[in-house]
Amino acid sequence: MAGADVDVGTELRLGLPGGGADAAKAEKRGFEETIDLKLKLPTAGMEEAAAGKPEPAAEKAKRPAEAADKAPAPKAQAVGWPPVRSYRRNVMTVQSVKNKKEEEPEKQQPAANAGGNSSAFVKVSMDGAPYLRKVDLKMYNTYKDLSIALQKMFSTFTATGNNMNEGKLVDPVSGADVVTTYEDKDGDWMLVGDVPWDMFVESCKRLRIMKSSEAIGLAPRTKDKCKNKS
Amino acid sequence: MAYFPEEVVEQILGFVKSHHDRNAISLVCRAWYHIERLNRGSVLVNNCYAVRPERVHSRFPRMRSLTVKGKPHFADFNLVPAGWGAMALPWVDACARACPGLEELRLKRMVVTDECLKLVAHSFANFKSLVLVSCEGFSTLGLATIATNCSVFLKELDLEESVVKYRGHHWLNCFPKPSTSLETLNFACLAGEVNAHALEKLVERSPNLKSLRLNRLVPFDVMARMLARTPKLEDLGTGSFIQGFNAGVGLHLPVFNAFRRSRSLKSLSGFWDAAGLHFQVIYSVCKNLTCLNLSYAPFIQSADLINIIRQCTKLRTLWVLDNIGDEGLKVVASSCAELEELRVFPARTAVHPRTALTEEGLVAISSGCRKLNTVLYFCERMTNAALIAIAKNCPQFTSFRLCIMEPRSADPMTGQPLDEGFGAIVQSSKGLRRLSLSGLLTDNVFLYIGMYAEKLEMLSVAFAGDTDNGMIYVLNGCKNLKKLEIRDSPFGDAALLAGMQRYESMRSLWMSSCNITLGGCKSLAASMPSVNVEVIDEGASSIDEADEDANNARKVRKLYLYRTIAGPRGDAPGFVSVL
Repeated sequence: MAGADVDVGTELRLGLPGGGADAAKAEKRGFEETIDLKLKLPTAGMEEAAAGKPEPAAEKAKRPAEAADKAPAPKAQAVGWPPVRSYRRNVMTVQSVKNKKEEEPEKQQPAANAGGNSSAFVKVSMDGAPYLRKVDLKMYNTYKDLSIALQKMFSTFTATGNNMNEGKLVDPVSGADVVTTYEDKDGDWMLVGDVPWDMFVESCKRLRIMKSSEAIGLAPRTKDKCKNKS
Repeated sequence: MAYFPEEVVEQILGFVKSHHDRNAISLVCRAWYHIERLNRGSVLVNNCYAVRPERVHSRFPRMRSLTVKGKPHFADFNLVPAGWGAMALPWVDACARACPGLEELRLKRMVVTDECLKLVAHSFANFKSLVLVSCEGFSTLGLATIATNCSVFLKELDLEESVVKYRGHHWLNCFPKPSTSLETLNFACLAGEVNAHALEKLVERSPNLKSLRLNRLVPFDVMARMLARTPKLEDLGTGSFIQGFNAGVGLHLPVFNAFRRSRSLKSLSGFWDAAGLHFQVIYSVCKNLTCLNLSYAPFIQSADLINIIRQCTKLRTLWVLDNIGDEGLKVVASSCAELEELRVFPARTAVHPRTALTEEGLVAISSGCRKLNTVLYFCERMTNAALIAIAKNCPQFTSFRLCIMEPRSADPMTGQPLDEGFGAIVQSSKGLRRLSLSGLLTDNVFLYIGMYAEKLEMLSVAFAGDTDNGMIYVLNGCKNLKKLEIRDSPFGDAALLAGMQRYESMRSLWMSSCNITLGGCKSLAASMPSVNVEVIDEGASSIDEADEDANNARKVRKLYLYRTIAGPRGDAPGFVSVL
């Protein structure tokens, strides 16, 4: 029936035009592929910049002066250029600019402790507790392990249950249920337990054990994230 | 003149506040030198290595306020390695011994340790004001000692853009009880959490608070409650707009009301994670604002920016990110006739520094904001025609800093260098004191600068010039030049040595990634004992005396020279060679 063909033809796809055989591959390019295609990051240059060594003057002199061209060919970045204070750079990095309307696909500024670390210490705060603690997320393999560890840490409080989602820690003052939440890389506060453990470890920046009543409004956006990460 | 009574001179001096004027007065004659030095209360040391602290104290025994600056300006851009120096402790130590009545200490680009803060806290009974700008090396524990031990007179604690190590948030509890004299509290730079309860209590017992700048972790509800208690607030740096926004129904309403009722709020900054809708709470204050800093708020879209700025008709200072776009700047131009200072920063500086801004935005601003005197502008492109128009529209620039993102960018319309454009700026703005260059520039621009920029005090050069002549034109022409900083430009020994007559009347010279050699620096150092010539060479082996010729021919990566009466400094780290 023609309808089916029309449906196929009008289906939104990101991929090379034409080529029915390629239709199957016409899905969003993965993050890594995009990097390969467009950015060709000169990683050596980036490392140098990070180490604080200036580019040799000769190389810079060779680089031709170009007007504002929109071609994605990147130049190795000179140290301290553009002249933006490191304080400001750091603040903007933390803000983790969510520019979805980029002209070119841009890698998110990697956090100072980008992957490959052997530990992932994050702060844990509990509402009502006089001080914060720190846990190394990489010490645990499942949410259950983490839950047990947290219970032990804030051991003055009643703890029951073994699932983060159910949040069976109890607030010391009011006796009400608490839930465990975390702040992810984008700065959003999420309910712990929705995403696969590994994804959680990678995106969790800090933990907060809060009263259930305050946890209203935490949007479960993790489902969208799961899709993108496939 | 010999019969002019000293008492009269002293009286007159009381009205002279400017350091520049005071320095001039002290040069008139010996008598005036002494009158002035005994009268000076506020001392400014622009380079901590230019003079020994003890010497400053013996010259100005009645010092009440001391300002000291440390690292060279390019340290802001990571060009000065860690450990270079500029320790505050020797200065604080000298103050503690010679000037126990010190009331105010302001440090910029210096390394301040907790030990140093402890000394400040315990040494000055009348201490009123501590301002640390772009400093580092201390932690919140140091802040705690300040809060605890500084007398109830403490009025100001300002940590502008400093890097503070987080060692707990206990410090907020430490301020005096039952009330404080705090008028200014700025901890916007603090990376760690603050104890909201302690913060609220502190604000409650600080009835004189005029300026409060929170860090981005202070939840919205906390700020809302504090705003209700600070009716005299003139300057607010907000906390988070997202955290604590939902905690408690309709909290934005009290904030909204607090803003609406406020007659005194004139300056806003912070905003951090605020986006579109959040800004509605500030609409009611916009018409009173003279100072607005949105440059740390990357999530606000151009349309929302425009809505806010349209209402800020009294604005004198505006800091924004480049996502305001040319269109947004056109709105600024038509709405903010009183604008004197504009800074537009790039939102993206890493990986691919890009900005959507072009010359159009700044041209529009220059034609709409006729009082503009200070500009810092990051853009993607600039033309000579635009610069010429800007120069014609605004002949009263005192500070003009243009940064075209791509080094050596030519005029995109003509393919020409931007010499003519910058030439027009220096020719038109006779009062120009500070200039930063960018784009494709030949020696000609330096010829213009040497010819016209008579009042120029600070010049920043990057990726510019063709031959030594460029630098020589500037050194010969700009009689008032105090600070010259150059990077990635082809100036060599001839240019460096040509300035020999000048360096003693200048404050400092920085050259990095240029064509100067070790030999050139050595011969300069040999002929100028009153100038410290420091070569920074991290990673390179120490200067080996063995093969002198080969050594002397080595290119110097980073040179920093400055006039001094303190002699070579004793605290230079291994990678700094003081020649």
